[in-house]
Amino acid sequence: MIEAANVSVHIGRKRILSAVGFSAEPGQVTAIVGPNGSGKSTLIKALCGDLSYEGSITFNGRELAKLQPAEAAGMRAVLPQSITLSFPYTVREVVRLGLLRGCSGALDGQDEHLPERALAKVDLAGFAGRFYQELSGGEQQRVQLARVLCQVWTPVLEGRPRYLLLDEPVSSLDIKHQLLVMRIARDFAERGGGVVAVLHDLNLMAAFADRVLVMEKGRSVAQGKPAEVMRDELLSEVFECPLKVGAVPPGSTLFVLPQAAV
Amino acid sequence: MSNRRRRAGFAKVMGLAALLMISLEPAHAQDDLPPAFDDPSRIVTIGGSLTEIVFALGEEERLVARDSTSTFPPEAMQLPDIGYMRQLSPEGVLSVSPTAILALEGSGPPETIDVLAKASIPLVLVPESFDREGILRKIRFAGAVLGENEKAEKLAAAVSQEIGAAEALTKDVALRKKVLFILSMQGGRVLASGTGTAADGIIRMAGGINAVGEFPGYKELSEEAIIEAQPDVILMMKRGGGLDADDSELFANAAIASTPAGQNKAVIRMDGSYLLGFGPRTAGAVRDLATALYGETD
Amino acid sequence: MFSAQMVSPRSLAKAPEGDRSARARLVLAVLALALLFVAALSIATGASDASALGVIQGWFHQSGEATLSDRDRLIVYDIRLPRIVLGILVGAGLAVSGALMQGLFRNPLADPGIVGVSAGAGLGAIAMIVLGGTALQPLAAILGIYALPLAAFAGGLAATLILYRVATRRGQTSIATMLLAGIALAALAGALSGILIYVADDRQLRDLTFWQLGSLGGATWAKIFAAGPIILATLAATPFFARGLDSLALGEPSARHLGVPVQRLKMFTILSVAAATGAAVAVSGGIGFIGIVVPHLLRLLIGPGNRYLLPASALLGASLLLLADAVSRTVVAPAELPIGIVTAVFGAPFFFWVLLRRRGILDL
Repeated sequence: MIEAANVSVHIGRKRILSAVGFSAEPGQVTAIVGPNGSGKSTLIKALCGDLSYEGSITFNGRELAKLQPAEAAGMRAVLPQSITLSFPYTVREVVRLGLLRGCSGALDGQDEHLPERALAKVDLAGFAGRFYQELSGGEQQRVQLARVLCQVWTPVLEGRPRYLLLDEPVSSLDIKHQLLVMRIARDFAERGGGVVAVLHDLNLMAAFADRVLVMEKGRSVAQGKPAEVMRDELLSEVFECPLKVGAVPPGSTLFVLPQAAV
Repeated sequence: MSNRRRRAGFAKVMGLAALLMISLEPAHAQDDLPPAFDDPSRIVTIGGSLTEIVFALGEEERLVARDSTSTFPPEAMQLPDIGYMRQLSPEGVLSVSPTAILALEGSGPPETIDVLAKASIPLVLVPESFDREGILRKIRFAGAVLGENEKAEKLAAAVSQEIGAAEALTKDVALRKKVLFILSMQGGRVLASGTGTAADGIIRMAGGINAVGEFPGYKELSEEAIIEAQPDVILMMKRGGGLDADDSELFANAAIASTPAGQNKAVIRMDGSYLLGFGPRTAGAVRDLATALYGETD
Repeated sequence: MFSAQMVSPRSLAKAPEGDRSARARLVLAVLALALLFVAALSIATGASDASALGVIQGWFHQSGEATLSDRDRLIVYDIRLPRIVLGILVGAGLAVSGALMQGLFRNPLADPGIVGVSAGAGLGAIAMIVLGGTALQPLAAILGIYALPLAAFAGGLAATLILYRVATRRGQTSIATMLLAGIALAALAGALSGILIYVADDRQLRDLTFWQLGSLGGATWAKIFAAGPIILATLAATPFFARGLDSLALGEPSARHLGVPVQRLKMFTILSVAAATGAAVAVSGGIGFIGIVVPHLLRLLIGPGNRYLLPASALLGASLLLLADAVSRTVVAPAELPIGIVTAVFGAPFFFWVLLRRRGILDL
């Protein structure tokens, strides 16, 4: 389990997060939502170990600040927002970086096959020989996900759950692939791992998240199941626009919801 | 001890001391000279003036290679060129199978000198100074190592006399001219010679005064410094190949134009190795420069 | 989720698509052989006609008569052999340092001098050349012919340490800050050098110019024993750098997430490059170009993966420098061309040609 208690983050003299408390259980997909500037990226960066924080963040009971990079790498993998490379690595070479720590959890001797399997999972089978720099933004995003999957191939290692930390994992993806990635996340959780994902899209959150944390101005304002958290007043206040849960748009405005394809 | 005996004893000691001092005092140029090379059949000379001296001694048959500054006489150019004297390649030098090397002080780099020493090739470094004594020293050193002391003395005597005569030309000049030696005018910047250079030496020998004798070496002069120097004559090397500043470029410089040299368009150009080589031809250079400065005398 | 590849025995034998390690291993083997060949060629080449073959035969025939003149033995053992060993060390050191810097700065244009080592070494060298007879005379007297290399090495290392210190705050080194500080330091070193150049006399200026153009001419066994261990230590450590630098290509946060101790990696990389480059420059002057061209050519051939790129750079850098040295020793024999000129004259046009041919696939 990931537990954050009373977490505050300062950048310079500015306080970005104030006393945020939150937990993410293994076996569940936990989403973090909120408007721009609410601190959701900062929170997940703190969870990744990229920022120094006050308070306590524990992974499987161990305090994050005390973990060595190598130990943390065995417990969790981070999908960053976007990465450009300055050198012409092939897709396979990039994905293979996920095996660096050497604790993918795959059976002995299987590590070398993981890149192909991971690429197949993210619908990039056959892309192994392509150059990363030549791919579209969405394809590059999925290559990074394949790499991340290689790092924590087995959601549970030696009896302890592992975690995927996803910072806006679907931002450059088309709908088909957005659903694909969220399904991968849910599958990871179903097999015993934990997933924490920062999401912009409330509909995806509704379709896939087991728990939601709503953030506003650096504080957590609500936590719970989507059904509990998705209330008109809360959402309207946090997102500063009159949102109605479950309401069909007026007139004959057309709409397409990803949930319909799940 | 009685006073007389003390005074006698004292005199003996002083006498001995005097004798000692006389015998220790270097007999004129004799003790400084290196011994002759065991095998002077294949010589490499490093330094233009040394090469000229070997030719002047008639010993050019022994030369197997020269350095890049050895450009006179024209026959010297036929010899293989082992490069710039301060950046010699050890294998390059050895490739001409020299039996001995005669080099101007400052040849290098030190690693090459070490290797040549390891190869048991005798190497004599000749100190250089930009005056008559310097030339004579070079001649005597060359003669000594070649085992031709007599020829060298003859040459030295001749050169010494010629230089003496050339220097005497201007002995009685009352108003000495201020000479500014300009090495280059690249990019409009005037690089001039101060003290301690060959240019400074030749100017003095020819009876001139270095217009900028306050600093050592070659320095870039500011416009004000040029004006303050008030040179009467500009002295330059003739290098050819479009590198030289011609008169129009020279006097286009406002500072130079304002000086007496500029107003009288007084420029003297002479071949570089002739003017600054400090070798056997220097007497002629002194004479030519003196004549150019002060006109024909005698 | 099984992929067909896992099951088919045939696919287990051939390299997976996108994996260039088989080709890289082949190239590595070829480069190793090439280096042996070039080294043999170099020892047989020179301004003189000394025969290396003769010397080697001399080893096997320990008869009393000298089959080879002392001169030839001197040339092969005391002139050519140290030069070749030094050339291998310097070429390998500069090429690997270049590759390490490019990996660290995530930029194919990074050159080993970027951490200040060239500016510092140059300043150290100028100071010793110009002031060796005056202000630094006591030091020069004690150190003898090692005064210049030691001054260059000290200058290079000092500059890098200063930059590292400036760019590191609270245990974190900012690469971007280091780059900017490097620019400032180069400007400062340039100014100080300018002052020294101004007070230098004609001879010193010539000496400085030749130093800046680089040369393996002053190779001695002493220099090899001084610079060798430092350069070899950096070369030996390359496997440890390799995987870390590859993951660094993803950016520092991602590298850290993968378990790489990023700060330690940065520190070791910067300092080893400074030491190796400083040692190389100290004993051979300013030889440029190798650090940028060699890794770049190899990247086009075997990809940017550091596990093979670093050793391949060492081999190719060594071979190229030996070739350049052979040219510099023979083309104007019995004089010698400074090696920096050769590397630039041949390297630059070749590099242009490669760039023009591969424009479409370039990473810039």
